[in-house]
Amino acid sequence: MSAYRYILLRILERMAVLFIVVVINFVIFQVLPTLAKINVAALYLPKSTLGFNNYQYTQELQNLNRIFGLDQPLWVRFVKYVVAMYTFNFGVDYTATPVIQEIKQHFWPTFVVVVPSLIISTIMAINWGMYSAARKGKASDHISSLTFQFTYNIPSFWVAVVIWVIFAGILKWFPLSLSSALLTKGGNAIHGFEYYTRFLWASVLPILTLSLLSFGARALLMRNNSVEILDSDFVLHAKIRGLRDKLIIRRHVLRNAVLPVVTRVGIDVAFLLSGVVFIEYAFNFNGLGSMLVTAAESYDIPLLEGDFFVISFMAVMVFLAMDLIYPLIDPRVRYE
Amino acid sequence: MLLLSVLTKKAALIGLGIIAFFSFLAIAAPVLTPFSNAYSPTAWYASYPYSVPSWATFMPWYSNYSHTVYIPSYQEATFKQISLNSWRPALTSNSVLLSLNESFGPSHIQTQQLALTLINTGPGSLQISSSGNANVTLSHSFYYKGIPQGIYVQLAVFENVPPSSLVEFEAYLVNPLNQSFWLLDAGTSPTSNSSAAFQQLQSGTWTLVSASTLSPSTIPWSYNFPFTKFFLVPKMLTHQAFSKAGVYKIVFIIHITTKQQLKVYVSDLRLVLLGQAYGVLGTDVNGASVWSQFVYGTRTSLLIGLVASILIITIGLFVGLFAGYFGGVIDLSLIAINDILLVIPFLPLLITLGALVYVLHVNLSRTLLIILLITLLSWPGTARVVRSQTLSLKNKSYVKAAQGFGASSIHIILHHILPELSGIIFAQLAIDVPAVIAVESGLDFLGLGITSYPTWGNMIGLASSLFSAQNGFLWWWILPPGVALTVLGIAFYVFGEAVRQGLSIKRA
Repeated sequence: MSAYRYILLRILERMAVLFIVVVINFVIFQVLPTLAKINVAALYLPKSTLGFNNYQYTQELQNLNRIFGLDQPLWVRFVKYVVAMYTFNFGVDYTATPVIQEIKQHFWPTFVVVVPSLIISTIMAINWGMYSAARKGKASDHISSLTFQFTYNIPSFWVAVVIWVIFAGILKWFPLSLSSALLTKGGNAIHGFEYYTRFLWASVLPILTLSLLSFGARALLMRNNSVEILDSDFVLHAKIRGLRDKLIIRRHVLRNAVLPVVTRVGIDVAFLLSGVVFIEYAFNFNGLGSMLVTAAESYDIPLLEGDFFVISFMAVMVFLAMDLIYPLIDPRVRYE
Repeated sequence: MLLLSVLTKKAALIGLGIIAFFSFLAIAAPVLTPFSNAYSPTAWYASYPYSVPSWATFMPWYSNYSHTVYIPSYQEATFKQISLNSWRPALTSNSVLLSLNESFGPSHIQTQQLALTLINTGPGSLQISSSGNANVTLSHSFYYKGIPQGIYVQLAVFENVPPSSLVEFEAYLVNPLNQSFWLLDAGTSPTSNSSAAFQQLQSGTWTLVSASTLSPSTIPWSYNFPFTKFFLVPKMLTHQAFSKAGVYKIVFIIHITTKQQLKVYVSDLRLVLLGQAYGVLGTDVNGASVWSQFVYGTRTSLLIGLVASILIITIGLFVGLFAGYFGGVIDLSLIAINDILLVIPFLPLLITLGALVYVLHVNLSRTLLIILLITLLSWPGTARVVRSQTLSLKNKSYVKAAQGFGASSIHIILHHILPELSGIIFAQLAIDVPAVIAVESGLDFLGLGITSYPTWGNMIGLASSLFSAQNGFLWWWILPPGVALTVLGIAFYVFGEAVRQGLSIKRA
């Protein structure tokens, strides 16, 4: 019973965070324009792209006001806004496509990049960090530590561009963009099994680049934790008992050292979702990140709003997933 | 004291040296390159587009690339002092007198399609006064190897000649095989000897006449061919003229036909051979110097990094001190803000805010806006560091003692806490500056930051967007800004680490 309680509490906690995200969205997209004395409806209805005359434009604005209640008091708007966000009702963008439809289209590329990189980078961090700790003070440890710091300091967009130019552009091992990978030479769309294999083929470089660029912080954490635990009494005791080093590391060190790393995954997700904007843009991988850039370039406010919310939503969801995984790894967490 | 302990560390010294090097680039930018904004058309065609760095010709696969050459070299474009050494004059008549006029030089000349540096609108010109018919020849010899991609020749003239007199200007290129190529033809009025590319001079004002293979109709030599074959001229002219390595000669001839006394002023004589190798870092798609972009990018990056970091640390220090020392609502809100910012991805939030601020018609320059937005989203992190440090200092026994003696909060903060915080602020500066630089470059890379002048992010963004099979890997354009970002980031990191270690040693 207590397990359910723990899960319920965590979900509630994360829903509260999500609520604050909605509040921030409301402040950005509704309160700020109101403070700047701009009709909020006008943000959603660009005058330039629609061929309205002035009268029609005013009519359309009033129409929008009526539908979305944009002319009502702030608190009414807030309630409506919260409901709209929680039901993923983002309206239509400047090209008159429903925003949710655009997001659905661009969600999978981002998902396919972010989740595998999260897993690969965690595995890399744990193994490499452990390896480095086990060889503490040796040359390989120093080189590893330097590598970890290096990946953290190197500008991700530049690495992505260089990798893209070399492997996709010059060597042609990978496609130049996701959309070109999903088309035949004649320019027709690919369907069926080949669609998925080509999708995966195009996502190899983004996944690897993002993993490489985001594992450093956790690997360093893993190394430092492991070094500390390797010095502890129970490891010494295990050594005295004559256990093999491999067994000590697997049984005694790994599990203890990995806990803070798992906690850190949640924080790194926010970092990863920033990085994915660069990665998608550099590899022409049309996901939510590159859509955000396009939306910002064309000042497409509804699209920007929906996209930003969904990206934040993804971050909160990964935080929640980490909360739920944590008790499986650390049995000491009590369900209370 | 802290600084001293830091300076004794080798890694910190290397870091500091790197930071000093980039600071030098930023400060000395105007000296290091003549182009302050490589994106303005006046800086274009410093060399042929996509030229490699001139030192790259040491590599075997670039060894047959021709160099970009300015004749005479850049400083001597105007007749300021002794340019006659550079331009060997020859006179055919005693009636003509050559002298340097150091105060009267070209002014108000509109730049054309080529780089601004070609035209030196400073004072100084060659004054030619003549009372009879004469030919004045100015020539310059130089060694050249390889085939340039284009040729550019120019001169600036001031003439106020009576209608009965004639002055004509011609420029020839003479190659080692003694073949000559007519490059430029201009004068007060056309004669029977004039070519179809004749350019009329304007009387009573400085006129810049130029001819270039980029527009073959300006070159008299082109008219050996029918007009429909003009697109072949750049290639044919360069291949015929530069078939052999050796000593070339550029000759400017001034024909004067007069019966009265007249004066003509000539300046800014220039021949440019646009090669495939140029400068420290080659050129970009417009033929603008990449080195100038790099140097001014350094300037922008460091400036934005420094200004934003100072803002971040000032706000962070105030809020962090207050929250740490007094606690209460400010403390709780600071923690809450930090927790929320930890969840929301930084870059998407920044992009969203940037786009929205634009839509709201806020009248701010793009650079200032970026600085303010980065500050807005970054100060809570610094504030939190200051807060936790303040909290631990507040519980130290000497602070407790001071409180017990009845010292005011302001006194304790100013005399007991703030001095202890100076080290951590220094360390925080080393974290914030590279972080701000990275974020700003990232925005530029995405095309959402500064667009009107070159920055490191713009360089990477533009170079990568221009990748094609034909262009290949524009390494001289893509690599330097990325390497600089990495090296600078590591230098700041190493320096910050040393400061932090120095702090802990001091405390122990």
